[in-house]
Amino acid sequence: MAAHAAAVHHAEMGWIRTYIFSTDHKMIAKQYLLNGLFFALFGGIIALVFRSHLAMPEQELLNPARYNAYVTMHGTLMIFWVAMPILLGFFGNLTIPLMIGARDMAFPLLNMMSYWTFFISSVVIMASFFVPGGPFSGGWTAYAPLSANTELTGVNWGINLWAVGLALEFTAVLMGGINFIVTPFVLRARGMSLMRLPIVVWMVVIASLLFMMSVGPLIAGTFMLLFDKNVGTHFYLVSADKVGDPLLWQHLFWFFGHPEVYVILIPGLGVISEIFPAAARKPLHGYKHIIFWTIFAGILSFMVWAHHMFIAGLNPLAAVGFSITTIIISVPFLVIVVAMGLTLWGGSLRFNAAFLYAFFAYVIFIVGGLTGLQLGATVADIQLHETYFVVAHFHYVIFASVILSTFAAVQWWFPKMFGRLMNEGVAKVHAISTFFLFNIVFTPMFILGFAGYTRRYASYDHIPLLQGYAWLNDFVSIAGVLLILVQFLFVFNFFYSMIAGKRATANPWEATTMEWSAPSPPPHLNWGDTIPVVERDPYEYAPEVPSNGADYEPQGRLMTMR
Amino acid sequence: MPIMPDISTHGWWLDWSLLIISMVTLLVGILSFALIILALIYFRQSKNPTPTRHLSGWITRLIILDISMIIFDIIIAVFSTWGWAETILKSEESLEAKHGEALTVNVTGRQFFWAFDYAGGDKAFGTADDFTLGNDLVVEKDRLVVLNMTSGDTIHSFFVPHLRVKYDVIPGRTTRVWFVPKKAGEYPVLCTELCGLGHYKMLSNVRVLEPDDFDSWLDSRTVTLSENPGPLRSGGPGQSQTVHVSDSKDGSLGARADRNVGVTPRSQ
Ligand code: HEM
Ligand SMILES: [Cu+2]
Ligand SMILES: [Cu+2]
Repeated sequence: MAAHAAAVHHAEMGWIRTYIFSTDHKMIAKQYLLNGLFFALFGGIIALVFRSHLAMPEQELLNPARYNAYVTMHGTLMIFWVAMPILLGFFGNLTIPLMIGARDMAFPLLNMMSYWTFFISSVVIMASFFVPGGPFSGGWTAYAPLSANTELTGVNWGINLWAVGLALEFTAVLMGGINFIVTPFVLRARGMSLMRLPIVVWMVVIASLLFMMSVGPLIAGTFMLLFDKNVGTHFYLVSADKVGDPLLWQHLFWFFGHPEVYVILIPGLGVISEIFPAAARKPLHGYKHIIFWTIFAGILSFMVWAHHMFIAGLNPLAAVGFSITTIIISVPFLVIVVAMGLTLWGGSLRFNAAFLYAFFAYVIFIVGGLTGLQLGATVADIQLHETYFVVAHFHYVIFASVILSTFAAVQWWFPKMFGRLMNEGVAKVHAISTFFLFNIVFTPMFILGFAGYTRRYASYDHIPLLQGYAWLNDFVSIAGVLLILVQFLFVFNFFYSMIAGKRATANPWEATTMEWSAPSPPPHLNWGDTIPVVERDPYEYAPEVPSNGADYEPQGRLMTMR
Repeated sequence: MPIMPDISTHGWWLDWSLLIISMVTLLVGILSFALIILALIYFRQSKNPTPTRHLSGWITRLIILDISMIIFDIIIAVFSTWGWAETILKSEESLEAKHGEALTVNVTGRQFFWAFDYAGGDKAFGTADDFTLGNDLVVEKDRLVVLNMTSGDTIHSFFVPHLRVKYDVIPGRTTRVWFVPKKAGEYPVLCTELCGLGHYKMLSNVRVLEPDDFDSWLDSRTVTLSENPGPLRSGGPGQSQTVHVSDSKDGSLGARADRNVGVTPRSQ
């Protein structure tokens, strides 16, 4: 195992083993991050293209088939090739070994294979842009029969590559997930009990478990989709004698889909909960409550999936049950959100850029959660289902948990990746302008949803009913383009700081958890000639008896090996 | 509210539950943000240099919050379930008992148009006076309308904003919606389930006629069609005559044009 002493004095490794086929969790974290950020930018630019098309359809930037394809790929890439690699692959790899005081993941080779499988899946999904017929255009939810019959969309290879790419991506995340689950249980440093694990580690573990438990049926479902499409089976396609049921796909998809949205939520909440105590200079409020209620929400997330299907043709009585479980899920999130709020309350807030990002994520997430409740109410959902209201709802949640907490995490852990600090000023300008623009892009969408703006329409100009709000939709498009453009501030800051940022000390934020005891950046196998030993809870800010004159107590210390 | 005016009898349930739920959510949101902003103002480093490690009394506050959240949840659950029971869950018998005999129309969604099958004057399907409309759904004011919907190709969704009706239309299954229009006029139908490249053009209208106009319209239909016999119910899956997407990859497919395929052009 990686932790034995001999490994510490490892030989100098070659360039390829250091940067390409690396088994070092920090390098794999960076690979996942860069790959995810690439797709974030790419997915953002796709959105920029289709929103420009909506704003000026007469320019014919896209034809309707391409419009659908771009909307589909935007959703697909953002969920599976941005949220998953960053929230699990990046957060998990960067934080787990450093925070628990391990030298690497439990299975470093599997970890490397996880990233490279993910890389292959990225190539496959990118290839779908270049095949005849273009990429898949049936929506990221890929409802059958549209996804199972080439005649219906005119897309053939696009669908095959979409399904294969997805299956590969799932495999990659499963391989990573094994590490994320096993490592915190077997490689914790001395003194690191489970109830001393930093919250983000717990969140990645819970998210990996949710993913592992929900994805199986969908992988099978994806293959059934490929069979229906290419082999002529009738799982989803209705045959002449009425075999096959399109609703089966929706059940399989959403049985995975709702746990999945928690998979890409809770690691984000974990990052927010890491940064809040350090910014407020007081312990995280209700550490155990957060963990237990998150587990509860995770379990409940397996019982709510049909809230995506209230009016999809399932027995309307079932909708009532799913509506009630959906509404109950607000209770755990209330506790979590309040715990985070109470962490700030009474604190001594340091407004550094990472805190700004995390704070904006927190605020935006609250709006997303509350509007989810509105959608969970069966009768209200009749009018709101498949309108821009839903689009606004999930962007409020996902932008918070994925995009803003990624910015927060990168800003926060940049020293542990590159030994430098990101520029605070640029980051603050970026955080504030992103927050501002995000809200003016997505708040109007709630109104558009009420007004009857259905989603996934290649144009609204020919519908007299909707012309009253056409100006608002145009406004959204323009603000959306600006929102994507200001993201280049981050791109610039990231690469500039990587090369020329201020050198970071080991613990620039005066934070407590173990990674801040390691040098910035930590060497291969993290702890050099020392052994980390954990002595107390993770967030000992404002200790009653300060031992070293500082306003915080590091969670542990490094003992010298003889 | 930006929501379209409601011309149905049951729309009340949607609108009020939507309004109440939105108001309560808005209230919860505003309260939370007020507290958060207070926290930012009072607990910034310059104002509050020494943090309070232990907050006192937070357990009671958390319990109060939890209880208010649960009450809030119960309000939402009760309203939405009640409304659901009064709309989607209503059986055809109880509806007819309340509103009188229904006008039943069989709806078929296809890429990218709607076809509406009427039973004609004898009110029975499968007889010679059945007819199919390829453009609009014509209904009578103040009369219960029951739509039995299915799809000839992929999933569509039948959405009439003014009538507060939205329900998916699925191949191999029949779904049912009902409404009682209270106002004559023309109301757009939108498709709300992505169904291919012409999805956004899959428009139609519900034409609500005054009872007298409706009767004479129905009579005129029956006369025209008796000269031209043969059931015109469009075919089930497999016999679709729609223009296939593969025929028009440029995306120039117009919804109006293909309405005339597979349904009688004589409807108007
Ligand atoms: C507080 C908890 C939440 C509740 C009660 C909730 C409720 C709902 C409901 C009822 C829908 C279906 C709306 C419709 O299609 O008519 C929905 C859609 C959606 N939600 Fe949430 N949600 C919650 C949290 C989240 C989170 C945390 C995420 C992601 C991180 C998320 C992502 C989504 C997505 C992506 C969709 C749309 C899927 C699609 O049709 O494309 N939601 N939500
Ligand atoms: Cu869900
Ligand atoms: Cu459609």
